[in-house]
Amino acid sequence: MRVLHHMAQRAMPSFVDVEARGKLKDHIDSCISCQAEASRYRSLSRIIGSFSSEVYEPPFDLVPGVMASLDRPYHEAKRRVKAGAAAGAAVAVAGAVVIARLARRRAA
Amino acid sequence: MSNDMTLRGVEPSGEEELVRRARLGDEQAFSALVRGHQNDVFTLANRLLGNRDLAADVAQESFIRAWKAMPNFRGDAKFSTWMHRITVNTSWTWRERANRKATYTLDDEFDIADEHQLTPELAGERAELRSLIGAHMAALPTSLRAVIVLKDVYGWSHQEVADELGITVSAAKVRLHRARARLRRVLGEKS
Repeated sequence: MRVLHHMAQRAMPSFVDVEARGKLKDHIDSCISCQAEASRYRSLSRIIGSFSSEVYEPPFDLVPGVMASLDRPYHEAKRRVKAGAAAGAAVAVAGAVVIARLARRRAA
Repeated sequence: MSNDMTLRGVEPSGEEELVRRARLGDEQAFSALVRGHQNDVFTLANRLLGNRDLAADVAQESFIRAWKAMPNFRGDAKFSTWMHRITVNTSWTWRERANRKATYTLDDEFDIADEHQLTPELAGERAELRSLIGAHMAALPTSLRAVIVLKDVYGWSHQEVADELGITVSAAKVRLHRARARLRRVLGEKS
């Protein structure tokens, strides 16, 4: 009984997520002290969960700071790379067409 | 992730359009996204780091990282979820950087010392139980605080917490257990 009580008390923080099972559950169901402890953990869980509605106000200069620090050439470089790749692909397709025509002529 | 951050004052379809334009390098669209998500990003960083100044730096860097990564953002996840991940990642980078400097020490020893200063008697005189727990949560070692913040405040799964913090699921569960046990002490015998 005492061992079970000790085990239940030690495992209590996890019982917020996972229901106790087997002998531990039987013990908790019959132990006023463990029930009180489980209730404290549930209260704690509720309080911690309630922090999700709290919002901290960021510094007023966060947005201007971000916008001033943006790496502008990055997107431009990306676009250049994309344009270059598209041009390269067009040249490759044209080349393939020319080679195919030449091959056909030779075959004829 | 069950916790949902949405762009305040902008319809989801409006946000999609902003994301689409931002991916093409539209700074105005990105600026609107930053304005819409700055509170959430800053709040998450502040909760993870427990330091307002660091949180401001982390929020700024998170948005800059997001801008650089915008062309690769496929929209599989919501923009808010994506920003969450970038913020957690950036917070972790800054935490390691700060730990190497003498000016900020976000290591466990510092945090534990800080936590001990917040005795229930002292804090209880000026705050309700909720703010007392909030204060103790902020004073937890960063490794414990990050897990309890992501799991119990933001509703992430153990797996998501483990993936994002680069730890095993077992380690995430152990840390959560320890964090809850520490905060439980704040309650004393109250229920």
